[in-house]
Amino acid sequence: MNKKSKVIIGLLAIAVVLFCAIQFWIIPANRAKETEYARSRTDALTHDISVIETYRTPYIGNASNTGGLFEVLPLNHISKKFEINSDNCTLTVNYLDTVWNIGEEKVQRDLVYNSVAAMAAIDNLTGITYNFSGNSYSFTRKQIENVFGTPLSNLLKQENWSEEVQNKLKDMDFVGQFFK
Amino acid sequence: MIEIKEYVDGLFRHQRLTPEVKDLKEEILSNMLAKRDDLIAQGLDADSATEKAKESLPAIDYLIDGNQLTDIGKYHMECAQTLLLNSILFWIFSMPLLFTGYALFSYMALALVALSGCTCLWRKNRNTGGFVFLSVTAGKRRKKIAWLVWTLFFLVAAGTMAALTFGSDIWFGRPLTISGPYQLANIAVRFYLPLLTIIIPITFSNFSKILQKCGKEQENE
Repeated sequence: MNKKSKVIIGLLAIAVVLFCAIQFWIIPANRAKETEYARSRTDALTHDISVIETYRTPYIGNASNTGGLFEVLPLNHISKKFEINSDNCTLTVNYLDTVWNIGEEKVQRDLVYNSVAAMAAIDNLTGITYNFSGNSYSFTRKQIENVFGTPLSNLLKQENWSEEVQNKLKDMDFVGQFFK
Repeated sequence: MIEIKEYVDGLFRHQRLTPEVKDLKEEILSNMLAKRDDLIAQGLDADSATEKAKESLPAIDYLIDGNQLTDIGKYHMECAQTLLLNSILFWIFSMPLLFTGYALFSYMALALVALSGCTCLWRKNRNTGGFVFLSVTAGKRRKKIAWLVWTLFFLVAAGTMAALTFGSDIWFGRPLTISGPYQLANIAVRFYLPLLTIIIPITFSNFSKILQKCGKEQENE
């Protein structure tokens, strides 16, 4: 076996090891992390609130900002349309699905979560209405502030958010008070 | 005369007609005609004299400058090995592309390794031997053309990428901003991809070196 053949065998062994490590270990691990992160973004209890920082605004009028905000909040995988009422600073989100399809418990928890997050991010948002096929839920700023305190923007630090919002939302009795 | 001219044309069929080769061709043609006339003068009939004149020069490869008697089996085997070696290097260097949207290039490199590996094994089992004349000059020319084409390709590809990536910022006088490592990697991969093709002119250079190495003189040394 000449020197070149030995170099070929050595390089081939390195290439095969590298390829297998990347293809069967590193890439699947990265994909699992991405899937986990994507899953966490659709769950109120594991959602990373820091992602809404870029959507903070004093006024509700900016439709693309509002659309962007709801794209990084739970229920972002459901198709939806927005109506903004600039006169009384309210927002209507029309989800193109049914509560039954998504799951009632998840919908209730995620809607409370999204309402707190949207009102904390948009300072003059006074109320939100969520419409599903056959169901409708409304939240006012006063109702949210009575439970979570004022100003809501104080909650946006991750440690406050986990303690004051996500931990409380684990309790379905707590969530249920918004749907009585 | 026409028959001998056609024969000489046939001898030079695979040669590039440089001024030197043209001179050589004319010289051979006139020598053959003189030889035929000489044989006819000695009493041979025209057909036999033509045949004898043709037989006196069955090949012209050894007369061409830059041609070299080469161990063809060794040359093909070493070329196949070099192709395999370079394919493996190309495969290794294309592996970072597996993390990008250009993963297909890495899989293509893997296919190239498999293909060149099969060629290498086939060459090894074929065991063809013998010596033939191969043109070292043509090998060097192929190497030069490969580098020229690749340089042009790389300049065009890199220039196009640079224009697409930074053209708008440069045109409007905005500062170039790279917001983070992900964006930097995204830009880098656009230039890395055409750079990887450097393995093609390198392979041609290697083939040229192998050809010189497999010459009979080298063998005797």
